[in-house]
Amino acid sequence: MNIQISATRREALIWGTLAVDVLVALYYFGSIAAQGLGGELSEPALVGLVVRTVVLAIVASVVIFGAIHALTRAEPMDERDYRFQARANTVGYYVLAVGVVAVIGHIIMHSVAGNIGAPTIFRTSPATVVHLLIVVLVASSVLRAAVQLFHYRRGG
Amino acid sequence: MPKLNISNSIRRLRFEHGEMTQAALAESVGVTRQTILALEANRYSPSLELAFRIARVFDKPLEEVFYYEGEPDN
Repeated sequence: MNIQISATRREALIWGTLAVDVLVALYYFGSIAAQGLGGELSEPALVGLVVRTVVLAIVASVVIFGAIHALTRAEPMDERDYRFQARANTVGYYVLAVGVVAVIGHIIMHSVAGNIGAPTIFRTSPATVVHLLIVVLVASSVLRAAVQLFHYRRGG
Repeated sequence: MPKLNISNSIRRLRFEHGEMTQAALAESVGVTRQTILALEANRYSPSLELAFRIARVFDKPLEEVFYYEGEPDN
């Protein structure tokens, strides 16, 4: 079966990536919110949540990308696709790098804050670091997808 | 939508070559039809290699297929 849809396979795959990112973020942060924003997750609970989120991401990817491959025609990437991908990777890389540096800075501030009695906003925990890193990963991936979709929708 | 300074005669040349379709041209130069569409609309500037491949399909020199419309350098 080959159903024609308006987007090319490349574009549909990027929309699929965006959908998986949003699903993962909603599940992960929704679960945290459901357990109470102020409460700190225990280590086993956090590990369990991360494992469930990874499994969800894999299952969602198999279903979404499987459907896209079944419903669209195969089309190899050409130089325009690679150019859009390179631009998107550049943006994604900067977001990832800035995010990771910010998290490192937060960890250092935590260490300093502990010694000088600074406000609690500078205090952190392993769970907070995991949350922040997931925010950075999702933001980087969402921006990569958004930049590519912007170029495809614009046409050049 | 920004227009590029590099323009081309691909659409005219396609019709002069037996009304070649965008898909046929795309296949013969190894790109997607969307890339040919973007080229004809002057929204995408091709690599030098792709420009040469397109010119070869039409059996024309490069400057008869692609031309620069920007300000001349002084």
